[in-house]
Amino acid sequence: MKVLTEYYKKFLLVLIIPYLFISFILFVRIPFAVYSPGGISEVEDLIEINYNQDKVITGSISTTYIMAVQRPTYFQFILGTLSPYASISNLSTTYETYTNQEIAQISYLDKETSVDASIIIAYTYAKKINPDIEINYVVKSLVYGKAEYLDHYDEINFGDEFIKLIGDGGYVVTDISEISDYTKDSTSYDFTFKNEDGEIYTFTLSKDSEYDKFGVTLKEYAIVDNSTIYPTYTERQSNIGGPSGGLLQTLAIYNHLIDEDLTHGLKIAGTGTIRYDGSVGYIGGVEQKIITAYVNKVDLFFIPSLDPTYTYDNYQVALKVCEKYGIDSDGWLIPVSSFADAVAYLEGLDES
Amino acid sequence: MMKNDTWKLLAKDFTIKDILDSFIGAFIFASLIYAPIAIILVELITVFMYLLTLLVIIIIISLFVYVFCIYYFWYKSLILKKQNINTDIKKLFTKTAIITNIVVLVLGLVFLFVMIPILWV
Repeated sequence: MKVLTEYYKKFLLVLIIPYLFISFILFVRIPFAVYSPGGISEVEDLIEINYNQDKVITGSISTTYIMAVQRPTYFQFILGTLSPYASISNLSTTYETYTNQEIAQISYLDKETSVDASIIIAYTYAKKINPDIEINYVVKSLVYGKAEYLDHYDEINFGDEFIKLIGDGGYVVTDISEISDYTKDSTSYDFTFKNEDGEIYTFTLSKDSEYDKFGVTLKEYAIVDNSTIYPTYTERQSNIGGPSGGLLQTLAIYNHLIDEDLTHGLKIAGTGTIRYDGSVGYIGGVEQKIITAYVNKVDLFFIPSLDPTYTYDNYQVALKVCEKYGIDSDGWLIPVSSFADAVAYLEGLDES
Repeated sequence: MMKNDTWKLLAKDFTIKDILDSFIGAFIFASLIYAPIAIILVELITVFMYLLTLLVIIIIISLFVYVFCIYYFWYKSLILKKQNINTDIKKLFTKTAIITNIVVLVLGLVFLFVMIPILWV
């Protein structure tokens, strides 16, 4: 070590400044977000349905993901400006107070709950054809957001289940819609939560004097009751976050539960969240998702289309993206407003 | 057999402590050079994910260079310590570096074609 240091002494001294500069641009982060094309991920690799194991699925159904770098380094920011397909925006105000780790936690929570929604919708639709299928769910209120002023910020985690709070007059509140009605007399209340390990804990949370809020955002999710479901399924841990795979997850699960093969040998991809009523929701990063699907040579791409007059309707944006990059959208870009639309389209392929 | 003999010869020319010290120095020097390159390549992947296969191949190639750097600095360090030696270190290290790089290539290809599809869902 010593001899090498002696021998390369001058060389090392000269390199110190460029080295510090490179370290600076590789490590220092700035409050922006860089969105760039990602890849496609087959739903069957994520969710395995223990049913119809002999069924031959000739094609594939994949979700489309993009790379979202929150708070990029200077180098990533420069790369984003150089990439023809990347877009750069200011960091979302929703995420401003969160660390990148917390943003990832929210993203994975979105993914997990979207899988539950997909299971519920797909099983419910398949049950209409096959009465053997059984699906039940419970509605849970989960921690979805935390304000900086939330008491016990580090102890309350994203995804923890809200169990109850002792409201005014000792009323036990379990329904989140009642929280504001029963927390008027005092500024502090006892909240009880359950973490992912099943441990129940109680904290006294106080309202912030400026916002008059506790600082915890709770959201209701339908969670699959695994004790009664038939057929059972296995969900693998995903590296890809976000709820935008909902529609395609639902399609793939449904395709596994029915006898016919909806894929018709096609490489199907798409995007769109799934709601509990079977309708599809908007997603972000349309441009990057279209490019991802095109680069991956998919045969069909489903995209949410809810209001053609709305400027930012995903389908309308996607059409402009196709035009920009010379992609023939005819028969490739399929607008859908619900899961039923997508199924009807694929069933229609059979007839044509 | 030949290879073992050459390593034994090297151990006669230098003490084990010298060989290890040179190796650690070489490893640190090569890592100092390679660390920014590795981070640059990883950050490239985060923005150019759609070029993942190409970028992983570039990472594998960069690892070849890293391995050669380690062996070069190791050689340089040993030579600087003692010049009158019987072992042909250059030949020995070149052979070993090539073998190491073949292992890197195999592991890299396994990572690219087996591990990534399994892990990335």
